[in-house]
Amino acid sequence: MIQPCLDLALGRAFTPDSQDMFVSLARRFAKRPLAAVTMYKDGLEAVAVTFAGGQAKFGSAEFSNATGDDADANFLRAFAAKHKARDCVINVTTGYTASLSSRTRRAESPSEALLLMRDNPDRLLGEPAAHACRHSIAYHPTHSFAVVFAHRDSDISAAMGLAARSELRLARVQSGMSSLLMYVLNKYWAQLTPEAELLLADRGSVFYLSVSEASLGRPLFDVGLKETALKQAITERVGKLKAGGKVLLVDTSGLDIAALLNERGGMTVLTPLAEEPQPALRAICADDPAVGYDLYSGERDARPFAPARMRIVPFLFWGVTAATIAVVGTNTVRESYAKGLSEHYKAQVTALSAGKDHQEQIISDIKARGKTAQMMYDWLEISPPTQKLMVQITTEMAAANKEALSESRPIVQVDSLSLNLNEGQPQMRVAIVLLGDASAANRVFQRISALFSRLGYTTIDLKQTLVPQGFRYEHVLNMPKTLGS
Amino acid sequence: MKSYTLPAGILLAVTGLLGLGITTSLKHAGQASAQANADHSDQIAASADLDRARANANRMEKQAKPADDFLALWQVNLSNDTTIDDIFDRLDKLAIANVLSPSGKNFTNSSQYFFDGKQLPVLSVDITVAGDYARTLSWLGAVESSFPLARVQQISYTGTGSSIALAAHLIFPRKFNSK
Repeated sequence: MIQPCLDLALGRAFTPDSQDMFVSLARRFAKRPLAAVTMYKDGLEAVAVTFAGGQAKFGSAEFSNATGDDADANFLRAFAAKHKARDCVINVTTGYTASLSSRTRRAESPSEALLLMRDNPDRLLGEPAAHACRHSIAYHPTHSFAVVFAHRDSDISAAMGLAARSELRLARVQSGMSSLLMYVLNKYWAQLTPEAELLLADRGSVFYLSVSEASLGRPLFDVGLKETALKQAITERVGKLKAGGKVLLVDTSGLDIAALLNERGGMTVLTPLAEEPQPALRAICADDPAVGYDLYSGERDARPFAPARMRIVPFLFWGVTAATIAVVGTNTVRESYAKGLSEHYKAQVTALSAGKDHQEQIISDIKARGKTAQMMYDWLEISPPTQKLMVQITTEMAAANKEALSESRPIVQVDSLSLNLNEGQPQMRVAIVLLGDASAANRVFQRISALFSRLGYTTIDLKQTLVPQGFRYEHVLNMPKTLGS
Repeated sequence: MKSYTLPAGILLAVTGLLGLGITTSLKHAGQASAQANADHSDQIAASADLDRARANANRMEKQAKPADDFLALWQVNLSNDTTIDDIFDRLDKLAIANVLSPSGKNFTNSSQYFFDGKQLPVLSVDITVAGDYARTLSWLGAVESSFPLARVQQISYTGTGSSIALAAHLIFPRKFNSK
């Protein structure tokens, strides 16, 4: 299965195998040379064939006299090598018989005709095939008459043997006379009506057939003749032609049959292939009206031939393959580039996030420093200088005593003094114990209260109590904000 | 022709698979491209976030300058690196300088000082100096100058004449923990 896939993908499947009997020679050998070999009784004639535009083009003929099997093979091998041909088509000119039949049937298609003629010729012949023979049929163009050729297996085997010894692949074994008759009936039928006689001659045989619009006559033939016998046979056949009739002549015998016909006079002689040096090979290579019968008796191992409508398959395959390579290649690059970009962006995002985190850390640090500064500020706010306050209190008490002395009033003596700040609070408790007169103590207390008031302290609680020989002054205060903003 | 029906089918199937490969390739490339675009958007957003954060940081840095200046001025007075021996030594020296007699020195480390709604680590120091009243005031001022962050939590004068004793309870904040 792999090989057919490769053949189809690489387009080889659309080039017919040289062994494919269902394909015309023109298609099989459109791009490769072919050696056409005509086997006569007395030798071989080889011609190089090339096809251009479906038409066969023949090279110059080379002839080899029959001197033995090896000599024939050597000649053919050398000829093929010279023309770089690896395949040959063999035209057998001997070993056939021809008969008129009205029991033949036509195949549904050319390929069916080939298959039936190879595998079950009885169905086309309408009667049992001749023993040890292979057949070919030349049909009347419009009616159910046909000339049935029977070719001896021995001659076909000789042709196959020749090809094998020559190391050439045998593209087709074909009867030149049968092919020529089919070709002429198909191609020149208009010129042959209403009736005519066909005289086909080559260098070893002569074939005669009378044709009319509605029937065919009995074929007459002489095969495998030497020059003298051939000349005699032709002379006799010419002599029996209808006087004043129409004759289609194909003559490659080299005996100038046209001159013989002219000598008889009063005849219409058609020579459509007069300029054709190889009329039988032309008929074989034309595959007209259908692909020629292959008399090859062996099994052909031909690679199948894909129809042209399947050409879309390799086009699609290679087109999509190319598109896949291009698209997948491009997309791989795109994907790789995009992934690279993606990684780059992700790395940048990571770096930017780290930068953002750093900035947020800075902000957090700033806020922390701000809070620390605020705490420190608040701490200082609740921790005013004590010395200054003590000096002011002392000054007030001294001033009170001085004033009392100047007015000759009793003074007081400080027994104890304490300042007590509440833990973490802007509150202060001042306790003073004065020894002395009540009025003097009261004067001192009033001055101290006035001092606190001037300094911005606000009173939470104030009380004076009696102590032995004096008075206790206890003042709970809210401390003022002294630092400003 | 029938001989090539299956190979043609196989080739067409392979062609179909290749087409599927093209589709998959296009899909993957599209996804990678979309991911790259999304990542690019993330990068732009992250860049904008960074710019905003940087602008905020710069603005806050400027706004925080007074606070930073304040901290720079006062931070050095925090006693977190100062040992109790240093403090007592300096208190003693200030007392002697003021012709006072220091005594009753004691200290405690505490992390339970309640301030500003938080527990503040502090060093509590008790000291008593005895001598002339005016000199005790001078010593008190010297202490407050020498330890500007110290809070004179409590002072208590007792005695009379030239044998006045000043018992002081000082609070040295170790650290202002804003967190």
